[in-house]
Amino acid sequence: MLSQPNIQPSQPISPGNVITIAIAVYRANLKTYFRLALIAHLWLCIPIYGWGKYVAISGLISRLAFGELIHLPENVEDANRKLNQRVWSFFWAATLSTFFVFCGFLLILFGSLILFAFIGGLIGFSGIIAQFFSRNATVMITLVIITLILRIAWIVFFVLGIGWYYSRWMIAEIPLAIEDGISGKQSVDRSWELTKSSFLQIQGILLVWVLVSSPLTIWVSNILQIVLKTTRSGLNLEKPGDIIYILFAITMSIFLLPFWQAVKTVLYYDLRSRKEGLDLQRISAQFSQKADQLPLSDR
Amino acid sequence: MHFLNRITLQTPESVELEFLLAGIGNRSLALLIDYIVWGSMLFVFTMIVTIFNQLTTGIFQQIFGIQANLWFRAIALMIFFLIYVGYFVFFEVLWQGQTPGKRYTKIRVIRDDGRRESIQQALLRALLRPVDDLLTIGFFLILLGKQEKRLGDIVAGTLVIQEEYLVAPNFQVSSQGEEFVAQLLETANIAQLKPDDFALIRDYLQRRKNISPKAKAELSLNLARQTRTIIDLKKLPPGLTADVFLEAVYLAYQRQ
Repeated sequence: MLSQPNIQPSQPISPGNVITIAIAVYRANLKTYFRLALIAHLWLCIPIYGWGKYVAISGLISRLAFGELIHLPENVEDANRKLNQRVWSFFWAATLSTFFVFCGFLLILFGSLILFAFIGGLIGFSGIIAQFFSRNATVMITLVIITLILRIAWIVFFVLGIGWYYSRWMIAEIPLAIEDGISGKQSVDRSWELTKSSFLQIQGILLVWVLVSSPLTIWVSNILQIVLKTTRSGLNLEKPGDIIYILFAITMSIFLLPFWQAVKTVLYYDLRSRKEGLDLQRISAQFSQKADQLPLSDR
Repeated sequence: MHFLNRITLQTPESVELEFLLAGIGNRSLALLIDYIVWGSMLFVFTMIVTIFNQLTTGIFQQIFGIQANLWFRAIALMIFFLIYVGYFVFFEVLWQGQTPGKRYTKIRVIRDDGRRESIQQALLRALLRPVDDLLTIGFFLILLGKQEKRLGDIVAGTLVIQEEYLVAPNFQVSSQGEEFVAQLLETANIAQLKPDDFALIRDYLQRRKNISPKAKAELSLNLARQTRTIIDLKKLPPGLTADVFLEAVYLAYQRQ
């Protein structure tokens, strides 16, 4: 008897559930993922190749998480061997997506600045003309209020613009880690393609991610501050405190990496289920008893 | 998804009910939304009271005497306090375990035996909310506990669950599919099709409009091939697409 999917995949998985599922996957494989995240961070010390390794191992975590999601868990060594050949593709995908995000950031920043400066200029100009004809206090007040609204509108526009643009490149390395036979560039393209018209869902996921990971960071950093204060007053040493702080930040980064990768993987799984019928392919493959061939490579 | 916690409840009538627990993600988002709505309500109320007070002080004093202002402030403060304390209780009782945030995230508070939440539970949950929020105790209890209960849930004996909806099939079947049904029932062995196979075809037809053309072509062809083998159909009419074939099988299965 095959189990039917019990969440209706014609609807997106809700942002809250994406986070809950990601946590559950991470929890079930805590040691493995944490160890991988630690190794990935060690690689960061080596420039260029090490950075590629960092992205590749992040991708490895995603690949393992994806295996869990489709009920076909993969052996860590096997997956690692496969992805090891793609280190440069990972590096390329990460560079490309970072470059795109950076350019988009500048473009949105300056584009919106120019746009809003233009609107603001028009309003200011008309205000001066109005002043010229009638010296009225209400005109001034209205102008001030309009300028204020304009500023808020600019901030909202800017934040949403960046949020939208970033979400399009968010899963850039995931297809490369999970699908076989695609290049770094194709992986980045697929991120753009898959995330199309999922703006609200992805913004929701980012919001809940911040919500859920913040108690951890805030909590631990508060303890740390208390500890640091006592050591500082007791020993009066500045340096060890700083070192502890840096160590803490790195530990947090290691701890949160698998969580973040799992979140992106659940999103990827959801997008592919809805837009490519991934889960239907899977069930259909189970019917024809070729489950071992299908899900990881559809191209 | 099998990664979300499930819980099976036994009602007093020994009926087993299965629920999907809300999960830390939905609950965090619901709480954020509630705090925003709650904060806005208090803010708007304060604004209205302040403006109202400014405008009516003179009139009130003329009618009710010099003490009017004091009364006005006292009443306003009481209403403020009621909103402050009563927000969660009010909504959870009125909407049967839901608040604006919970409604948006489609989660609901129920009692441990599956009955709807009443005012006692809502009060206990609201009273312990500050304790749960303090040092994010509630967060960690939900995150780590098997039943995802914060202190308020433990004391009040409540669970927070997801509302699940089953969407009835609502897709269009083409006229060609309709025409092919009779022939299919005669020439093929539809009875060979199992409920799981049928469910797969139904899911595909339901969701195909969201699937990208390339993936759809591949998937429908695969499904059609498999289905054809299962129902042992020898001859296909010329010009029949995979989609139309699957539509016809879907209809034929229901009419056999």
